[in-house]
Amino acid sequence: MPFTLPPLPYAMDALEPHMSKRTLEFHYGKHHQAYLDNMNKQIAGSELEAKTLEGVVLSSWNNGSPTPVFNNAAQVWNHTFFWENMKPNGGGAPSGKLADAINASFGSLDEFKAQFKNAGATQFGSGWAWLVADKAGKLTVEKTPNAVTPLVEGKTPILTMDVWEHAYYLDVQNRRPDYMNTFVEKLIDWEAVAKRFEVATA
Amino acid sequence: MARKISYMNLFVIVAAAASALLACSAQAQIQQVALPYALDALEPEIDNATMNFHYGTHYATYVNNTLAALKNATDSGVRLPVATSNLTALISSIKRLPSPLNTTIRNQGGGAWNHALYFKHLTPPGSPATQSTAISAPLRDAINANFGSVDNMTAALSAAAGKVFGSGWAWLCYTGNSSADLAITTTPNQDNPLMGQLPGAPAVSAVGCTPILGIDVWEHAYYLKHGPKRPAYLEAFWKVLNWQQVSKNYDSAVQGLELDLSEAAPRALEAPSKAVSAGSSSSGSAGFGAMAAAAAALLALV
Repeated sequence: MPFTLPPLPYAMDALEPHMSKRTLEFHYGKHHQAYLDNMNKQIAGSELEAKTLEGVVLSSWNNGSPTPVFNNAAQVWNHTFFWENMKPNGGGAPSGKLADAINASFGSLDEFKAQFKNAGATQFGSGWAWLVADKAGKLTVEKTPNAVTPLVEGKTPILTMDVWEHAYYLDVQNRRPDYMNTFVEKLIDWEAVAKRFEVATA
Repeated sequence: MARKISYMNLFVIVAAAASALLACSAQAQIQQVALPYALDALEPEIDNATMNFHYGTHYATYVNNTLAALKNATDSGVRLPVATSNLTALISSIKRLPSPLNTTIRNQGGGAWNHALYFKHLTPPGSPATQSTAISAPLRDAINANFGSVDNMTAALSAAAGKVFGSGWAWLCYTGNSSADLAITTTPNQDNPLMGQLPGAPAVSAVGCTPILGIDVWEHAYYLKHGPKRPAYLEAFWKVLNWQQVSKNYDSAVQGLELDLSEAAPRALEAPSKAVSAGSSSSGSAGFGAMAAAAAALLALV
């Protein structure tokens, strides 16, 4: 059975004015969809079809010598993860155990934000910034190029920010720092992140 | 009285010579190639808004970041194996640069070099230089020998450009190998075949070859006009490619000369503040002008 894209958790214009409808139409409707369609073509008739999406990602990673399936599969996974950690009127601050973990791991929410944005800023070319949790609740910021994801290192991401140019170019052009500020302050769904943290530390 | 005057004259001469020399070396630094066309002149194939950001911001930032890194290095007493004014030499010597300068030169210096090549070999659509008749005889022979025809080559290069995942470039490059002297290759981010095979980087085919034609497939090169549709951008690219410039690039590569990444149209001698060349090893015509003026002053006062 070919994989399908989960629907976007909100309407295409729901993240306005922080992320435009036009961006979502391209980003979800074209980029994410194309990764899915291409992955399905590549795995048709193979044993990968029977796996979970995560299984396809890990299998195609092939211990660091990724097959052609990896770029598409990982990007399908990464983008679904990305949509799910944003919401209309997002931003604000985490609370409860997640807030405690952020303070414990970074010293403060502001310090986490600075490190997260720095990861996004210094990922040269295309890629992603991540917040990753270990079983003990220790949090670290990571960055990955292109389609690479902390999943392949056996890690558990709880938050991601796409820094491929297509994520922000229509809205702020070259100004990646402006996009990252907007993402952090106005878009993050901290409840979704907290739920992932709970699962990661269960 | 006579002695005092002559000491004053000597002081003036020395000061003039020193400042001219300083001006000569100060403005012999990497800079953006001056566009031989207006920012909107590539319409409708490459839009004005894209050119504004691509040339005016992305490319400018690569150059500024390169200059800042070089200044920081030389101010800290780092000894570099090549002249800081020679961008081609710098990116060819990345493996000999200390860390973290090597990474900055790779990313920012690579960006500066790649965009100099790119913008210099574009030209308004419909101009004679975009016609395949503008291809020089030696380049046409080489293309035919390596690919069968110009159409075959452009199709292959477009295909390679379409396959680049993430940010990067597709290149037609001169290999120096007499039996197959042109090759098509791609590099990620702002890497360039001249950098050689960098540690940790994916294997580059035809590594070490000299790019003579480059297609930027970073999304910033096409996203404003085409969104995700890279093939549409690639089609448009061929309508604004300056084959005369590509032919010159080939000619330079064959002769073992560095590509001329300075501005397309040579300027008349100007005051030292108007610097001229980007990435070439000479100090530029303005520098020589200033030194000539200092020499003239010397002669006048003696």
